[in-house]
Amino acid sequence: MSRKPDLSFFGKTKELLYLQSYIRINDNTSAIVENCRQIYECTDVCVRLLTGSFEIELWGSGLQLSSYAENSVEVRGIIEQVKLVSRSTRRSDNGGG
Amino acid sequence: MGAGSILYIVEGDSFARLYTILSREGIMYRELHEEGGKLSLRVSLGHCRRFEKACHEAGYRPEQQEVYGAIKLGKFMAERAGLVVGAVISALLMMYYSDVILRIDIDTEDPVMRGKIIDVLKEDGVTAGAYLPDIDLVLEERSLKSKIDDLAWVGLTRTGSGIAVDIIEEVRAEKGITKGMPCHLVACEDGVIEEIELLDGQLLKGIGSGVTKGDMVVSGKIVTENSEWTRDGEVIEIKTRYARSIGKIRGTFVRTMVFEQPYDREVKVLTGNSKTLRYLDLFSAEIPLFAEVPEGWYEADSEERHFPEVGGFYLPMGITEIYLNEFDNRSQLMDEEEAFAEAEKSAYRYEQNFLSKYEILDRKCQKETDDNGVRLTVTYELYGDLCKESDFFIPKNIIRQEDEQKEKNVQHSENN
Repeated sequence: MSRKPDLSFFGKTKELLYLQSYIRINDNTSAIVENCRQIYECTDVCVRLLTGSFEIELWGSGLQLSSYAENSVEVRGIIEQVKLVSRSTRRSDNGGG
Repeated sequence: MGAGSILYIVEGDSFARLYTILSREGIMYRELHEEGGKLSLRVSLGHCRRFEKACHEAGYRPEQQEVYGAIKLGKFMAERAGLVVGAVISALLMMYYSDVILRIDIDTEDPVMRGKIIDVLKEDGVTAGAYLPDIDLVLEERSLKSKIDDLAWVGLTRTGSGIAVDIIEEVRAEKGITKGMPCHLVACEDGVIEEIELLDGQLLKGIGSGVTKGDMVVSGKIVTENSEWTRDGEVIEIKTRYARSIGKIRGTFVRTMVFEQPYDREVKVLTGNSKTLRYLDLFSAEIPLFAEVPEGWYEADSEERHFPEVGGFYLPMGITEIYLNEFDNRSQLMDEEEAFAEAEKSAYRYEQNFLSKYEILDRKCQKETDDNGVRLTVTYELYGDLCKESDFFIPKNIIRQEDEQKEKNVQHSENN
């Protein structure tokens, strides 16, 4: 019986090189996202960020963005929803559309 | 963002490029959010220039809205130079006064002792305003101990910008107990004994006897002789007993006193001018609030202290006012009558102070005058104590002999 690996070769490499995105959420008041590559949007209700493998959407109210170090951002406000969209999924959706 | 930050507002349709620049340049910011085509964010002071430059390159025009942190404080202070100057002066004063004596606390309630200590400290330069690091407290302790006999122990401690003087005053041991010690009664006046009340001692003079100063009237050494006739002849036994002579020997004696009064005398006359000296009391430091010390002779009339009171406690700073009256020493010439009146006053004061314990039987005055003044010779005939106690010591060899005799007696009795 063959065993299916949990991570691909690239996935394991990313893990070893700490290239994954690390998200830490404190209650619903703040979230720290490390290895953030780009900011797409930052409004009162939505913050969209791009990391290595995911596009992260944080929904809520009174959201604000702060950056105290390179490639890491902190979202403050009342966070109601966090949505992770895989970049590969996004690409395939865009390709299909 | 410790040094401060600036709040920027950037206007535009899309801020995607700006976000890319922020990430690429590694600019630190906070509170970023978009609202109605305006992006606001606070950029730390260290990244402001880079941010503005990057914005201009990308075609945005950032506008500074507000400053926060140290810059704000800096601007606030720049507009209020007086506060800065005051703070600097306060800091300098604090630095200076932290090494200067402002207060001397002396742990005693005795004003005389306090005065003595302050005098010695002043002599050695330890006063309010003295530079503390220059003062060797150990040497000062020694100085206090050597100069003030009444101090058994003294300890100096630095307490902030002051000095605390802790002392233990010497408790004088009671003078040796003379009660029971042998003494004579010796005449202290030349006179005639008229009354004797003797409780102990051997009387050497009787009533009616004349005595001169130093004569022994009652002896504390009582010698008794006891003679017995035996077959071998007369045996005289001499016994010596030492006693404290207790008694009153009263008699009449004469004392002559001369009171002189020159015609010319100096009188203190108030000129009517008065001055007020004000001092700023800052802890123990009395800072004069006058430019020069007034010339002339002044006597202090009164002193008033104005210290603000807060909740029942007086603050250690205030104003002391000393009111002075000017006086002048003027020579005054008296006539003969006035001079004799002054001499009589002196005689009266002498009688009140020194003759109150005697009965004045007779008082004869003889008046004389010369070019400089008058002389009043008063001859008193007094009645009172003629003798005073005079302690004496029993020679050691006598005591030793007595002890040996006692021991022999004890041995004899044991043998028997």
